[in-house]
Amino acid sequence: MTAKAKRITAIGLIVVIAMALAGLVTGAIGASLLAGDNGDPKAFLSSPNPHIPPQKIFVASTDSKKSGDHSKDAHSDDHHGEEHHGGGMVEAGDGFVVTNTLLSSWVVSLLLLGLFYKAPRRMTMVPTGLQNLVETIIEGLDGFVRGVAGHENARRFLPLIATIFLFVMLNAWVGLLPLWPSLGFPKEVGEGGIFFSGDMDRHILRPAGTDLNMPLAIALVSFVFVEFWGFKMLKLGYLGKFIRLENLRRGNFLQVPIDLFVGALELLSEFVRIISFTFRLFGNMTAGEILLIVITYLVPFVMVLPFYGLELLVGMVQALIFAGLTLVFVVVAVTPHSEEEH
Amino acid sequence: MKRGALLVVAQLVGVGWYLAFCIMGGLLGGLWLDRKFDTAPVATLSGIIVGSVMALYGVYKMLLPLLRR
Repeated sequence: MTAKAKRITAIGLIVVIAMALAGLVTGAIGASLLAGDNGDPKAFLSSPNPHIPPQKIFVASTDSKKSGDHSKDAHSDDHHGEEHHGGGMVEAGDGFVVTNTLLSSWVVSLLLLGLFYKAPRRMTMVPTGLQNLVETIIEGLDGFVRGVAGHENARRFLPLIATIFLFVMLNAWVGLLPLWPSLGFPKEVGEGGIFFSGDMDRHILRPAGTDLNMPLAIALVSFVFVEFWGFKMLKLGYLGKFIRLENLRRGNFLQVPIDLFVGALELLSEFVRIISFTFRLFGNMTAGEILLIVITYLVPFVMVLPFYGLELLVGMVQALIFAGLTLVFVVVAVTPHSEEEH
Repeated sequence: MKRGALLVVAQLVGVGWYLAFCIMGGLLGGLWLDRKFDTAPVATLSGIIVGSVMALYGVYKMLLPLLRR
């Protein structure tokens, strides 16, 4: 290491330690320790108020009172409704509503479309830049799908599995960008612009995984594809998983009630999967979001960095689990009942 | 269901829920302890750190053999 590099590293370390100490003193912990007996503890950041439901950004209602300028509508709603339903929650009778989570998922979709549209332009034999990145991602996912589904089925399943993986992962990761939590509408009109540093009434973008609807939508897509491929590959034989007739055919009548029960359980498990998929992703994404908010409030600046690292990992692991489980369920669905090990 | 597939499913489901429980458990447990013993925000911070470290270690231990296979 050269002397210059050493100097830069030392300055960087000093800045990081200074920021960590400043965070410890100015955060909620430092404030409560330094407050003493009289005087309220005053933390650098105001107490967080996380809310689970997404907030509406645009409302296209048939009701003439509710249609029109969305931000004005949003503010007039909030001044009288804050105690009742918080800032801009979706209510019954709102009509078509664009929430901050929906907007975020659109941004992610556009990002993915843009990436995969741009990458194959001017392809070269020795990939560089964007082509290299996309090839690495696709090759990795292709290897993963081939490993589980085999060479024959891999080409059929890859588009779905890769889409689920990339969409879930990017949705989790974009929420970690500073842009996502800093865009919003202020509590009072005129307090600041779209970028502002006061109390925020509603965010314009929020990671879509923190809205129950997004995990549910992907879980439903996963469910539909599992059933579709099951029927497509095995035709009516797919139903043999739920209606087991082998023992009836062989004359083992004592086994028939057990078969009926097992078939019913198999059918039930197909639907239970949707709930499991949905709540696992939603729980993880929401927990991550709240964790980052709380830790930033307690100790601002440097302390939150390892947790951002953890959230990067959680986003990737959850995407891997969602895509991996869908893949395993699809493979099981297309395997003939007679080939299954018992 | 194939035994191999069942094993993979069980492991993946386990890792997924383990992560959520560790992070949420640490956070909510810390908040509850703080409220009960009036020690805010020491228990919350400790809960978050313990939960996160457990999540990280657990994922490392559980997911690595699965990916290797």
